[in-house]
Amino acid sequence: MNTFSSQKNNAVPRLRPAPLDAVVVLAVLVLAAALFAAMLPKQSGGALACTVSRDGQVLDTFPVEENSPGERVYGAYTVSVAQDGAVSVTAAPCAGQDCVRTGAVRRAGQNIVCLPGRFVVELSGTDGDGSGVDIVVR
Amino acid sequence: MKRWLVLLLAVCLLCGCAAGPQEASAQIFSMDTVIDITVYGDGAQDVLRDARAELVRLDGALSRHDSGSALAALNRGAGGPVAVEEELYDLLYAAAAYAADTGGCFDISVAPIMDAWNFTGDTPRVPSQAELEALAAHVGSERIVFDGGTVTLPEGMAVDLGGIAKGYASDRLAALFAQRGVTSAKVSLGGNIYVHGTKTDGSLWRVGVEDPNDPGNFLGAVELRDRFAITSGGYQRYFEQDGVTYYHIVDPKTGNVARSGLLSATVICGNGAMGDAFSTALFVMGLDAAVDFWRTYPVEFDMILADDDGHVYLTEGLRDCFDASIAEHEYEYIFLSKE
Repeated sequence: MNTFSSQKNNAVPRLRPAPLDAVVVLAVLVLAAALFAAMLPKQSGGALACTVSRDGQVLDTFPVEENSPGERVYGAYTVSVAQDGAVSVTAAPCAGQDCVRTGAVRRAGQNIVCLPGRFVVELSGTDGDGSGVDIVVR
Repeated sequence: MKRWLVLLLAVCLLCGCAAGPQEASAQIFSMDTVIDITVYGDGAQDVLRDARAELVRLDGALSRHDSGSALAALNRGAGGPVAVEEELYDLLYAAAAYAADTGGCFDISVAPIMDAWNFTGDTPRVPSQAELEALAAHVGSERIVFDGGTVTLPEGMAVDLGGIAKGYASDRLAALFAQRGVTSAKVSLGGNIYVHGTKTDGSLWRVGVEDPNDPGNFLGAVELRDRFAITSGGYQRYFEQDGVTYYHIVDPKTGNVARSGLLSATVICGNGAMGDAFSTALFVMGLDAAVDFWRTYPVEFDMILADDDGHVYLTEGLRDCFDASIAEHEYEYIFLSKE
């Protein structure tokens, strides 16, 4: 038994952590935290952005910010951003004008659609008050 | 040396995780609406391709205005038996059953009345009362005859599946996702929602319920998985004439625009076609009849009803998953119980 015990002690590696081990652990933790943070926007988006498309083709993407009002014209359509960051379609060539009547959208996940013209304005990312909505039922 | 190998291995593993799940999304114009689909996970692109193909197929089969569709052929053959394929037969049968269940507040045979109003056309109009009464005489799904593989519409009747087709399409997509092992996906068919599984981080989908008084804001948000959410409301499609607003939802029994005191009716359930039909029916019924219907219907579903007096009624199943804190406007939220 003593002989066996002696052989076992010789085979077991030294378990006491060395200073460099701590460096490795710290590096892995820092890397994990950084990558986790990088993964977060996958389904929650970044800053609020507006994408304008027609027939599935993106015409424009721009950040939506408060205190930055203005109008953007896409052919016969006009997309307006109000002082408070609300986005609306204010002019459209369609007869029904459903897209104009939709009014303003402010939150990620909302959109304004002109079916006859296949013209879509949609918000993505994270709205200012953090509603965190993934999709909208209307 | 070993510790650096451990570090390298850890970096590789973390990078693999950080790459995240595959994501594939598409925006499709079909079924008279815009459809947004996002699928996450392995094979997402293939599933999305098949989902798109399924929607194109359904659009071709279920459109009343496509002269080559099976539904158009059925309408042309009104007055005699028409052989239809199993899928259309089953959907028509289900629609007729929902019409019976809801006392005719949802009815696919309302099509000629909708044509008279021309809500979706360039020149909507207000039909005369005499015209509506004459057209309403042809409404009534209970008179559709189902016999084996044939369907017989009475002379003068025409059916339109617009009030149920999008819900049925979401059922088909849900089945596709399940068959292909998808664990995370979301679909919006013009605002008819289906959320499949959970988000990729395992959390529930957060579905915003649009505020009918201010469509840029929400009545609240509900957290869901594997559920369909469908709203009927007059607030997005309407026209005005002589100072009167005419919403696009009509009472099939009278042909007149439904003015029930509700601004929107949202159904949350496990069957898209049923939810689509019931959201319309509840809107037409109005608050009291809708609550009675919910209390007695044998299949479980939840609903959110917003009236024109600042009240939002929610069924008890939503008590723990509804968040009203994101509402911009003040409402009185009232939870309904079965008793």
